[in-house]
Amino acid sequence: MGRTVPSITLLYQEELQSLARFRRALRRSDQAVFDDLLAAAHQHLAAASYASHTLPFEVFLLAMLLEEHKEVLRLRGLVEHA
Amino acid sequence: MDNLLPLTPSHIHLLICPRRAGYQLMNTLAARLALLGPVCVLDGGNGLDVHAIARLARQQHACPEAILQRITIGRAFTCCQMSRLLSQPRPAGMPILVMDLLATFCDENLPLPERLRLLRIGLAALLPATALLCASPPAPDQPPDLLEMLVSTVDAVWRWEEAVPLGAPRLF
Repeated sequence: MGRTVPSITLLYQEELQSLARFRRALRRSDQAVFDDLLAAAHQHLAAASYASHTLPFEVFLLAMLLEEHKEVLRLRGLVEHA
Repeated sequence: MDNLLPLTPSHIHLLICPRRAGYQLMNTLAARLALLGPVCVLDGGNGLDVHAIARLARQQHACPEAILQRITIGRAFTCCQMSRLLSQPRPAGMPILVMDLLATFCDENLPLPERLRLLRIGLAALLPATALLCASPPAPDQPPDLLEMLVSTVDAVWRWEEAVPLGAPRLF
């Protein structure tokens, strides 16, 4: 008996593949930023797996947003304490 | 897709096509039919992709969860399980999609007459339904008997044809 639903890592890799042409069309500097965003989504694969969402890419986007907001909060703290 | 594969009510249709193309077609058709109402998908090759169906539902501005809830899924990993799935009673009028029907019947551990018997039982139980069966052509080392039985049982047969690449247009 095999898996009936692909693993979240496999889905993540499929999304990367589907975005490969978009990434290739970006400037080199933007590619690095894009890779950072995808790395942020990769950090939360365990949570994405637990969520079992029907559209995993939406969870990946939320994971990227989560990391971005953490950065915003960190920088806000630095500004307020400066 | 539903325009390309018009399902006649109370008829059994057979689509003979390569495995990968069959999965894509059946996933798309499952999504389109689920937009209209309940649909039953019997999966013999573990090829049902619920994420693809959810994406197709979203493209049609439908709620993926609602669409998925309209799909009744039955998975078979042996030909006995597939035969039993085909024989199960279902609500009248509910379309049935059977993905990679012959995949489980290619089990060489079971004698061919027994596999043919199980397939015959399953198909006989399915007969009054609106169904689309999908099967891939037999491998060179597989007997064609199973596919021949399918073809002789169903009401309509569609065969997959690779698109012929157009040659360069001639100027003169």
